[in-house]
Amino acid sequence: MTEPAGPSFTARAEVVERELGDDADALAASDAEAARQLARTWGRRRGVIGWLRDTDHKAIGRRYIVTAFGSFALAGVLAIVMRLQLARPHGQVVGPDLYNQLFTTHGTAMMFLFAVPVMQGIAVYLVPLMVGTRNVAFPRLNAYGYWVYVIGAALLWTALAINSGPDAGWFSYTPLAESTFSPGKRVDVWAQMVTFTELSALAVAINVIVTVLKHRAPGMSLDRVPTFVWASLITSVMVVFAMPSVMLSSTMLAMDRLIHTQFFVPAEGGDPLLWQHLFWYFAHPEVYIIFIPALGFISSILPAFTRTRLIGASVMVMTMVATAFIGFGVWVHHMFATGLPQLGQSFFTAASMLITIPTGVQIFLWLATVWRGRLRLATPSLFVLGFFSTFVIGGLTGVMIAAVPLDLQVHDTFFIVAHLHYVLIGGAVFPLLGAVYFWFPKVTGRLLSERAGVASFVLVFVGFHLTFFPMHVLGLHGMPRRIYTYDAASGWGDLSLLATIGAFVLGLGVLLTLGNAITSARRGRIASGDPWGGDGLEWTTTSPPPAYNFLHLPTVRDRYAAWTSAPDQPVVSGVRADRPELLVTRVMDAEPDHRTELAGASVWPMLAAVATGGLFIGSIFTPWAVIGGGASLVVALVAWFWPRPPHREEMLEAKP
Amino acid sequence: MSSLDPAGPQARSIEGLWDVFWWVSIAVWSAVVVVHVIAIVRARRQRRRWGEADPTHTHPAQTRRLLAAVIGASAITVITLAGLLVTTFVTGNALAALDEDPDPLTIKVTAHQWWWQLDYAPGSPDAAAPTANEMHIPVGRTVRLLLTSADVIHSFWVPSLHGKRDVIPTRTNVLLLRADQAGVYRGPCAEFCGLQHANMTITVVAEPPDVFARWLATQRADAPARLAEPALHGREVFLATACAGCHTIRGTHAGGRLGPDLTHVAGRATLAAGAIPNTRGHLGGWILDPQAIKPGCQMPPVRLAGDDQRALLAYLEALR
Amino acid sequence: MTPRGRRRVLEVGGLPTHAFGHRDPLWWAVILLVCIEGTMLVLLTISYFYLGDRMTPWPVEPIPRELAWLATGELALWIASAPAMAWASRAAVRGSLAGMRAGLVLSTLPALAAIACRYWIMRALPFRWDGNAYASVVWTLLGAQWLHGLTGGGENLLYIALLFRGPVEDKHRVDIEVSTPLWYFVIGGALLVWAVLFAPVLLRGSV
Repeated sequence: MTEPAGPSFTARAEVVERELGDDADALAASDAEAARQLARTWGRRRGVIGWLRDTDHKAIGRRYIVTAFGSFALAGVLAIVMRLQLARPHGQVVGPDLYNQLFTTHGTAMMFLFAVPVMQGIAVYLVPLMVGTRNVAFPRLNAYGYWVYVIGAALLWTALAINSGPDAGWFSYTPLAESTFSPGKRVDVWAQMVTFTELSALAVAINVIVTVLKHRAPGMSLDRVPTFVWASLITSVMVVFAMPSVMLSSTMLAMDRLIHTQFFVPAEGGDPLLWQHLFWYFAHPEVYIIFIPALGFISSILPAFTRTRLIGASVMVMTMVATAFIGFGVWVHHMFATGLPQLGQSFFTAASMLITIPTGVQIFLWLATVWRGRLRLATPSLFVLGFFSTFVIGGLTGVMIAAVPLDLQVHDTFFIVAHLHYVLIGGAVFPLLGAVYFWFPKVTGRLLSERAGVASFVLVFVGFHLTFFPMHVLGLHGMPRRIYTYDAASGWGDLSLLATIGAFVLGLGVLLTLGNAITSARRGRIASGDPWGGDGLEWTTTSPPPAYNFLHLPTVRDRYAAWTSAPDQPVVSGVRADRPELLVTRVMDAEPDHRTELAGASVWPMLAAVATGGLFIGSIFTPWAVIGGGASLVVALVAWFWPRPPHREEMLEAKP
Repeated sequence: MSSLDPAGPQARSIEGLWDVFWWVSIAVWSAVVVVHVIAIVRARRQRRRWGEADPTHTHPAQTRRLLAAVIGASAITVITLAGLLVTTFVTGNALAALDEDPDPLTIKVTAHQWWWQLDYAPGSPDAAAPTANEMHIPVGRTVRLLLTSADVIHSFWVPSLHGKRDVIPTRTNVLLLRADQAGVYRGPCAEFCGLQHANMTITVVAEPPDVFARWLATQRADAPARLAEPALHGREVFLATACAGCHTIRGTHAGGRLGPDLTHVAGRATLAAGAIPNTRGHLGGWILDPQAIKPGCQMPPVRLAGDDQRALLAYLEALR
Repeated sequence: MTPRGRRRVLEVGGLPTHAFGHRDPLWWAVILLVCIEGTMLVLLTISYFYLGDRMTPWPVEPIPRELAWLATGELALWIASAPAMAWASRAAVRGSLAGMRAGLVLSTLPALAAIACRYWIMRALPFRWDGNAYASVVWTLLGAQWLHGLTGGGENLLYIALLFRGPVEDKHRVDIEVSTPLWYFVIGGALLVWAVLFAPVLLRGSV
């Protein structure tokens, strides 16, 4: 056996061959003892309090995913009601007031409570496993992010349930969203919920970035980082630079409404277009924040199902970076109809067309990979195949609306509704469902039913196209978005009915997968650690992984760590098992640098989230909530960061 | 009401651009689908023949060929996009060609929640012809629309004539368009503007220049003063009830500005910004309970005694 | 193949349990926080100029010169806190408790004075935030950056309490060292606010 092409570990951390006993039995005994100690250190306490205190990335990730799919299901129900209303001309299912709440809440929930959190939740779950460590860099921040998110979700859904759902669109254009035209608390709920949930998005982003940069397994230099981890890293960087924009603008809107600032009030010098710039500067990158993780899913599923490496994996990563960069320079294509100067429009047209080039390259690389490998058809790969034929349509209509003249005709019509669902469902939800079937056995230890999976795929695929393809035609025939009714003379009735029928088929398909997940989690076939022959480190541990993820922290010598691990691949030794300790590695080459101790489980992140929630939700009713909420938040933060009992050997000896 | 059914030069050049994009899209999509279907079929055959692939094998020669194919496909993508970009800019210039017209007909369009106020000859009060929701234009002459809003953002859009242009408070957007054939073209408000966004239609009637000139002369005139019963009584009802507080009828002392100018309301084909046809039954129902037809609109219900109601309807129908 | 009972391991037990600067994970979190807050401040500044482009006259109501001078004094206080912070940071690396204490106290005192100064400036502004869009953006810019100062100052006070109460561990030295960039960011923000809102007032007087 030749020496594995591994990294040259630093002088202070050396690969050694260690005697652990005379035979395999002794080795097993020492492993069992290590596992017991690790379980004590990383496991959580029993009971409700233990659940509230939990800071394990897998628990937090699971909660994110389950909560996000809950919002997905609810927002889907709203979509079905809207389709019923529009099935025939002069629909009588709901009135305009409720309809406006429905579509606003549908869009808001899908974007802020489903699409971004579900991708982030999966990253929270998978990234530490994929980079070979035991938790995220800041577990308490992670828990705080989740609790903030769940309070935001509860706020929106409660508001809708008591007829206070936001009704000015998920984009809340001013001045319609100002208190003059939207009195009451509905838009306040929207603005505070947005600021609030983006806090959670930022918490995850910081965690993912630092975990990827500083806690990778030794040997996982940047060129060996798995594609999904790259996708999560890039997405998180986008979150850091995009979310501040919407937090700022929604705060400005909330202040306009609550303490009468005049940012977007035309009569007092405020400008409605300032709102649009700030909103779309966030909201267009948001699309890529949802889409790039999906690229990561596909790049993880395809190697496992084609049994071959991704062709041009580093090119794939570079195209993702390019997409992220250009994604920040296209926001004005949402504002072509506002009458901006033509020169500026040409720039944004060019940028918007440019962004299809990296996406095109990605699709070509995947097709080449399928061509070289031997694709096995199963639910995860079926969803990836469904992605190709569907997403390409969304991409092509995207090129169309980048062209100003075409955009002026189809902007704010059902054509755009079709386009954005082709991109977001075809481009992100199809791969997401594939990812659910792919990683479900890792998370639960049980496989999803394959027969139900295939049936669900067929229903989702057919239902999707039945629902959304006709909308292109409706838009071209002049049907605007966000209307609660239309006249029979418009001729929109038949295709609208078809779309409604499709929505039911699509809904049935999604329901089948949800049902599959619920029953399989209890009764599904038991999964091995690696049911698909996957290439990532996550497949090298048990399903579900233990609280400490890996008994022996791995080292890596290739991007496809599980496929290329040498028979005598060294494992990391010397990370303490009696304290929640992580190995810190260097950013570029992932050479071991030092060890660091994490803060343990704590109930204070949850309480801090409650205080933050009190601040934001209370401020809708009285400015004093800022004072009260702020004070309780400070208390919670002090308790959160209160020093644990000191380790004697690490104390600075000088005493006062 | 379709962008694929153009009646003016701009909508026509946009439709031409659409055709280009449409065929390019069909070609690209078919290519991707064909390649991935072949790849799937091929993969099945290979799996049947040789079983699972060995993931550690890198197939260098085949990979080089495939990478060359990826580069080729990417190059084609770049060239196609460049072509589309140039076509787009050419169309953009064609759309701006109407700027050159030295003598356009100027109409000021003010959007309200949820109707369109139209002022012909803005800036010259004696030539003013205020009307609402139904815009008449002469065929073959460039029309210059000055778009502004009294409340929230709306969007002016008549698909058969041109793309849309947002209507933004405190700003004035200019939209030039021209109809080349006579006809009635409808357009919905294209920016979400609140409860009755769905019922805010602009109707454009393009007619020969002489017909248009006659129409405009009618609009400039005050409301007909010589009325017979019961219309005469209807006018008193109008002036005595809430109606006059919100609506203007030139030639009377009704000068309200919240709702549309009704001086020649009987000449319009629809009511309430396209929500209902302008017939006696609909008009009566509208006055009685506008909230049933356009929930949330600004108009309150006006309950009248049977005689008064009939007289009011007769009066409004006389406002030609 | 490794013989039974043996295992090839990468031994990291000898590595230290803390490291300073960009080797520490928290340093990266601090930098990301600076990116987030910085983006917000920059977008707010852009909004200021965007609104300025739409409104005439601009500024709608000028800021009095006395306030601009007061703001200059405030900025000087912020800048004065920087060397002390640098000192505290170096003391943390050296492991000098006395140095950390002195540096933190000496940087926090002028900062607290600056925070109070900003409070007076906002109270003395001749317009309220609800007057017009200009007033709104001025107040928000001043207030947002003031909040940065408040949180930075609050964090320092907690560190000072910790340093005097003890026990101080190695990780606390790292915490103090890696949060230094946040302090510089607060000072940078103060500089930005001064340059955007107050410097033009002083310059206008001199021409």
